[in-house]
Amino acid sequence: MKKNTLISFVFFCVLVIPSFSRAQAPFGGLEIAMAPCTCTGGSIILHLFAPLYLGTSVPITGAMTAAAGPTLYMFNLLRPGAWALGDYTPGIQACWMGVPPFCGLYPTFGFILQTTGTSL
Amino acid sequence: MRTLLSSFIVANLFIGSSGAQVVALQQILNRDPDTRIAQTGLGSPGNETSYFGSLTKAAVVRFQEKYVSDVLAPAGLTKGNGFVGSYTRAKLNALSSTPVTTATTAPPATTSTPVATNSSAEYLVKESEKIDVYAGDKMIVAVQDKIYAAINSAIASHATEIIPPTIKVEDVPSVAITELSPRSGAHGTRVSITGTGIASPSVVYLGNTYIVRTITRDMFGNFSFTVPPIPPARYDIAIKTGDVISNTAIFVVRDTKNPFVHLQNVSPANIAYGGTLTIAGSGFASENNTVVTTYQTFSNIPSTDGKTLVIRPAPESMRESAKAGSGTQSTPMSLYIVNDYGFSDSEKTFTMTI
Repeated sequence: MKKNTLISFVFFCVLVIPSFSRAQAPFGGLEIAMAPCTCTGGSIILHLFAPLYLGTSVPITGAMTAAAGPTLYMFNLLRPGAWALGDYTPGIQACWMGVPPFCGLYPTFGFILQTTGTSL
Repeated sequence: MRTLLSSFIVANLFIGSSGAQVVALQQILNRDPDTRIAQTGLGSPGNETSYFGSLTKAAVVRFQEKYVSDVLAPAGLTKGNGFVGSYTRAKLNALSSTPVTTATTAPPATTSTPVATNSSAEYLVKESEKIDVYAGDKMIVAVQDKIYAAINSAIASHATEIIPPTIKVEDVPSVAITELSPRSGAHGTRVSITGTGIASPSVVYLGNTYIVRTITRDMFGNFSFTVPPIPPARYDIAIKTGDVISNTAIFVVRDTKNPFVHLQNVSPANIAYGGTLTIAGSGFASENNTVVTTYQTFSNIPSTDGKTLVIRPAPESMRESAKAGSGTQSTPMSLYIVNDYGFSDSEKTFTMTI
């Protein structure tokens, strides 16, 4: 029993705690393009923003990733033409494109969190 | 303006092809109203693209069947197949070597031919006000093309890292429409515009044909305009602030006698890249339905019975992945419809497996 508890604790420390301890940062931007990260089975979507604001008032351009939603494009979700404002986790590189085993990484600024809203 | 098309088709072209040869192909097809890729938007005269999709294939089929004796008969065919081979190329090139008259600006954005009435005349675009209402869209498409080219190039070469193209903020319009609310309405409807970079004074273009010169800003900074008395139809709306032309957003000037667009279902629920997707519902127009999917928009889709539409989704961003596809990667997508009657009452989802 103690062993199982210890394993569970280690599992929690290794897998769960880091996901909470990752930094979050605010961002905002106008999405102009999106594409499925095809090596992740469509569960991750690439979103390109221009302009993109990452915590400062200086506009840049760049890509982010986000989990695919139950519906896309139309109803208050990330899609081209919509302004997004919310949080992201910097540094997570999640967009792999191609078909396994040939997958290329599309560099992004990070992963968009569910605390993000969009214009209609 | 008289122009001479200088590009000749030298390669076999088919659905999924891309590049300058496809642009040349679309330009030749667009010279003839019978073989035009699309009446408005991407693929229409002046808005040719570098991608051979379902609209291009349909136009090639019409071309082949129009010149059946020159194109199909020598190959022993009676029906067009959309494949640009030697006989089709020969006819295309023969036609492309003659001067034609082309418009210097994009075509009117309306899906039906607008007839100006006395009351709508004051909203007609004057000569001094003429713009390319798709100028902002073209900037965005150019950026998207760069991104997709980088993706496809890297996948084709089995690169482990995709090098994103350098995109500058100036590469896209600084004025953008993100939402019109409502998105359809009759003459007199007040339409709120959500967007970025909009300032006073601005004007609203309804296609290349009509203009609303009075745009109102309320105390909260929100912009709006009133739908003018112009022919009921679907219009691509752009805002011009200073010298900057925004992207376009669709607005439908409704005729209350027209039916509502009802989206019932799509089938099959899962398709392959380029596979056939059948959309069932009601209120589909006989022509010029637009099907907006997550990664691709289809213009000028006909419906013979008003209840069915057929598209073949093949997003450019997935082209190279699909070529190497193993049938294990499934991407969720959704779609909705817009035509001269309005927007569909819902959206439907499906998946694409590559």
